[in-house]
Amino acid sequence: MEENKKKTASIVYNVALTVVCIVLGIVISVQYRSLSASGSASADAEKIAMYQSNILKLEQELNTLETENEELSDKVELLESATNEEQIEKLSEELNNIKKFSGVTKVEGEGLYISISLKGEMLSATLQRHLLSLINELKASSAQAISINGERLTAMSEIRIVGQYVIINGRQHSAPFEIYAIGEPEKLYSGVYLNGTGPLGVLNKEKACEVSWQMRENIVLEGCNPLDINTDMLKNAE
Amino acid sequence: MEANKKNTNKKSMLIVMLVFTLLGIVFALQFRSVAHTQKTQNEKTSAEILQYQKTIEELEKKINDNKETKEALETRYDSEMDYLYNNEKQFYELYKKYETDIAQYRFNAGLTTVSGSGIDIGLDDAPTRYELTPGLLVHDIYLNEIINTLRLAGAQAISVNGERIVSMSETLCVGPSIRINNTKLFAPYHIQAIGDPQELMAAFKTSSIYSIMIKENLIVDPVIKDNITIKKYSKSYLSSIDKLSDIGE
Repeated sequence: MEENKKKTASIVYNVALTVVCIVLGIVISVQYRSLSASGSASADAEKIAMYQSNILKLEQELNTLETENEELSDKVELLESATNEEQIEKLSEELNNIKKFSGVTKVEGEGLYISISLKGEMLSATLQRHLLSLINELKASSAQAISINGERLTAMSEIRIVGQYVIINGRQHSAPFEIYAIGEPEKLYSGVYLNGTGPLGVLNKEKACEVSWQMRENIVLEGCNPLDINTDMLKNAE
Repeated sequence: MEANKKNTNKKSMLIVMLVFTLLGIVFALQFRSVAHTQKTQNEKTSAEILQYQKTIEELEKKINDNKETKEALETRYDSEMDYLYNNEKQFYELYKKYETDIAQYRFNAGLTTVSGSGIDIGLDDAPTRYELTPGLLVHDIYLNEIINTLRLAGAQAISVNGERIVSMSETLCVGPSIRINNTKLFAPYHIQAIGDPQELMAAFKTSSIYSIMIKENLIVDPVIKDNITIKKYSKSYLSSIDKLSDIGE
């Protein structure tokens, strides 16, 4: 009797344990699935990225259209009301502005002068990276025209350092590197120096370089050689 | 002796019960917190998506309006040109000559949409392996170096996510995005370049920036393409030359 009772109790105990363990297992698996379903969060992120890139494309299209309309409307208004002389004047101004934008004309303005001379050994790749960052930061700080050792930078100008030389527009120039940028001098300076953390500030701390700079009221930059702008592989797709 | 055994048995059962009860509570808590975060997350995402859809609708409307304006302007332009052609032939020729010159310089300056063969480099941040260790990001200096490498290899036109690289284009990190031509761009990035496809590809694949990006587990996918269209610079060029005064050539 006593033996039987003990046996039943043990069975009940075991069954109860099994049931609890099964329930636990189910709960864990449900929990696990719901957590991995938060992988759908990455699907959402993808969706959002898609929306963002879509919006960017539309914004670019709108920008292009607005710019085109602005230019076209100026032109049409002139055609409808201005004299022939006024129109020619306008056209030649437009031509000149576009030449200026492409960098083929000689220009003048206030800006920043930076000189970098080499005192010691520095890896070409490191120096090239410094120079690229510096030029990039000048552009980001609204520079409108830049030249390095007399080479005017165009859209496709490369910057390559080999030892003591810099190669730009396919031509080689030796150190010191003299950079001129036309733009708001204060803005250019604070952009590249950035309290010592910008590319000019960093270069200034390099032992292998000696850096100096000066805000100038009058910087004159030669235009680039029109032959440096290669377009033989481009087809007009307007 | 027997009683002692019974006692231990009871004790162990009690402990097991206690452990399971605790487990139960912990699970319930965990379950609720996960359900809660998921719910708030979902609400946030759908609100965000709704906002995006609204923006897209607005943009599409503006684009359509502008297209209509453009058509009207073109009609007016054509009729003026027709008039000049029929009545003031000499002035018409002069006008056309200027327009041809302007078109040529626009083409050189990146102010026209162009096409040709070249390469398309897809770039994305490294995939996240664990929630707590986000993958490495594509930085501005990487784009800057890639662009420089492509220029070295003779690229004649370059764009990043549709932004044409012109002479004063910057690549600047702004939080998780990269600013080019004052426009914020987000990963994934597509750098397109027109030039000799083999040369561009070889230069890119042997560049130090390529091996750095591969080492950092970034997604890098360069593809040669027979026909790439690179859009023109979409902003007005006038604001980027207003500090340059002419001096005679």
